[in-house]
Amino acid sequence: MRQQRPYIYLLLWLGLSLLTLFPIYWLFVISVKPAVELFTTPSLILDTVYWKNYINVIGNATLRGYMINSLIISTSNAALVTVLAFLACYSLSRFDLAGKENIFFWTITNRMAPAAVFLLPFYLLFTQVFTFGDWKLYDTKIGMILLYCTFNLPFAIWTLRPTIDGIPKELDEAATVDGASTWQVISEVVFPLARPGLAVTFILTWVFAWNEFLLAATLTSFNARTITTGLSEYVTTTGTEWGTMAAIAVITLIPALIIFSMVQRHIVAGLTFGAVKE
Amino acid sequence: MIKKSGIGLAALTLALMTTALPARADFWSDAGAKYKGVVLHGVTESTPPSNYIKDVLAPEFEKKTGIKVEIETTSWDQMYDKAIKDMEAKTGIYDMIYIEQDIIYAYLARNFLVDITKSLKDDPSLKSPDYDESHYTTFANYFKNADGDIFGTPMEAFIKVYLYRTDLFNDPKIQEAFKKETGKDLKPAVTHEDYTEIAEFFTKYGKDNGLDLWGTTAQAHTGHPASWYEFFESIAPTFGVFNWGVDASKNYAASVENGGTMNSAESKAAMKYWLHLRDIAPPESAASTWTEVGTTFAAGRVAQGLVYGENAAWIASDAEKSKVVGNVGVALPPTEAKVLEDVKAGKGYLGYYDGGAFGLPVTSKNKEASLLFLQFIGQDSVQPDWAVAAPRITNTATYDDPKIVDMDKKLNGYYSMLKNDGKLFAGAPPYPFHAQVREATAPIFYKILLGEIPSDEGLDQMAAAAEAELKNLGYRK
Repeated sequence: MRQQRPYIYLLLWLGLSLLTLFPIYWLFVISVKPAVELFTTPSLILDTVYWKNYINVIGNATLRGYMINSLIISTSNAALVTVLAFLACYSLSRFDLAGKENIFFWTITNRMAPAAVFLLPFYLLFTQVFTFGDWKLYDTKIGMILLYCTFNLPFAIWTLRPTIDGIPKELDEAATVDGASTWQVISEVVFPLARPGLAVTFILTWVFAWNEFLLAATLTSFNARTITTGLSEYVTTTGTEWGTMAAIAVITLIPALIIFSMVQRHIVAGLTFGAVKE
Repeated sequence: MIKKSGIGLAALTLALMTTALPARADFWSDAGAKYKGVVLHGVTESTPPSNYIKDVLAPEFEKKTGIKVEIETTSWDQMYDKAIKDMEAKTGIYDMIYIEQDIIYAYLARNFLVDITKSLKDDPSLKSPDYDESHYTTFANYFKNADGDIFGTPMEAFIKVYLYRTDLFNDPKIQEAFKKETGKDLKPAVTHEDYTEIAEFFTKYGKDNGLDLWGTTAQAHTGHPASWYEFFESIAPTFGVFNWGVDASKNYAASVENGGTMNSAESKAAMKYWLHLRDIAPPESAASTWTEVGTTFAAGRVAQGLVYGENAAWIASDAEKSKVVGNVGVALPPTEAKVLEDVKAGKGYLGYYDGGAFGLPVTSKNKEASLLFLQFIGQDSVQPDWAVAAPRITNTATYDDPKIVDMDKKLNGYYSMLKNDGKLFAGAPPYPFHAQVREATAPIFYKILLGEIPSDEGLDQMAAAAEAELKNLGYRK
């Protein structure tokens, strides 16, 4: 029998935690140093704390607006994508559709080309096709929410399908025998059991939308600009404001941490759900 | 009694007059009334002058006219991407766009911009009495067409200057060491030879004394256009190679064989000089662009360097970002002896005069209201505060404002140099093919920097590549 050596595991755990958290620590150190120190005495030691970068960021109404836009766009997109992916996966899992494996594969083809390829077509769609009088889809939150579906929905379908497949069909049949409608089966049987997978899908989709830069930079200007695109305002010909950018980055981590902490108990279950088919 | 009644009557009359007559409005409220409620959109690079427009001038303009102005500030590449897409697709998203000094020629060639001078002549009701194009510095010439009509309201302008550390240059111990080593007095360089000597001295001095100090900056990124521009805009002209070595009058020749100077003896000497400086500059120089040379100087890591004026100002005055505040001297870039004489005689230029303007795209849906805003930011009265907040000067009257005179002292005469010697500097050559020629020659240029091709041979190849591209574009016939 192997001897238990808990201190080794503790050290290993500590080492890995430090390694994982190091970039965040580094980011934080940059965010609390004045610009002049960042280039003259680069140091990872937190000797002095300079809060002005945070004060500048928090006091900036424009940045607050970008943050709110990001929250609205990524949360709405994640919710919409999760619902649509859930319904799509249920259909692919439960109905005997002709060529459903081809449909399943086809969905992922959207993610095979880099987003840059779609930039110009989307720009024209947003500015010239989907218009109503003076109103354009360009620079609107709804436009960005729908746009991110293009890339996040295929991913969500692929992430969620094993979860739905993993829920025994017999449960649906039993509920149907008991008189449940299809909608009741979906909402009262499959949905509760799929919650871990849905949580994983939601959080990953949310993170993708939250972090996206390229499309947001091109398709937003004033009303729907997101926090990631706001960061580019600090890369200027008179210098990159690393301290401010780091402060923004640290602040943008907070919503992500909140969302993660809310759904984390589902994540492990969600990641392994359906992995072993019985 | 009569007197009292008279006063009362006069007061009554005056009161009645003031209530009966409408309040006397100024030009801005009168002209803006027609466009009240209009929202103008502009896109620009996120720089201090642009942020001043966004944060100060736009709200002031709205207060006076009722016209709201939203300015989108973003990175340099995003700004161009968005502005060009908008103008190409004719979507009319932007009413104002930032025009950099070198891209203006491409925009004019594609008829992207509204002729401001002509528009104001055609509709005098839009012309502000406080706006006068003749008040602009000569920098405005870069935004004019052949008829002298202006296509952009200049909003930032600066020259690339030679900065040196006064604390080091005035240190008696260092002066003595320099004299011992070179037999010369330590003073700002005038010639390339002086500059090299000083650079070599300080790099060695830093090494010998365990200091984080080198002799010169070098904007020598091995894969970014900034290095290409440093060579052709800042180094080559000081050796007498102008307009990137392309001679439009000789059928757009770049090679010596056809009458160009891109691979001339002067150009080759310039390249060797610059490569040597790069080799004794701080290690980050091989990854430095226009911004990082400023950062290197501000961090106190070099004794001297060529730095864009927009950075010179914060390096000399902003203690939050710079360690060398109060110790920054400003001088003209070093040259070959004869070049300075030629430049003073009007044959060529000494370095780069950079900057930008706000232009009005022909695709704008609010041209009249935009013309008002462009005049508003171009009038003399708003310039001094703008120049203090974001060091730049575009109107001649700004130089004499007491706030600017005071600021000039802090900047060790940078504004005086801009005023007196600005004429010795020049913007990009008036070619609409900047990007194409740069892109065609840049890969070879980077190979020179990486040591993959000898510099002489590389310049020969670049001249040939430039001519091939110009032929491709239909210029060389």
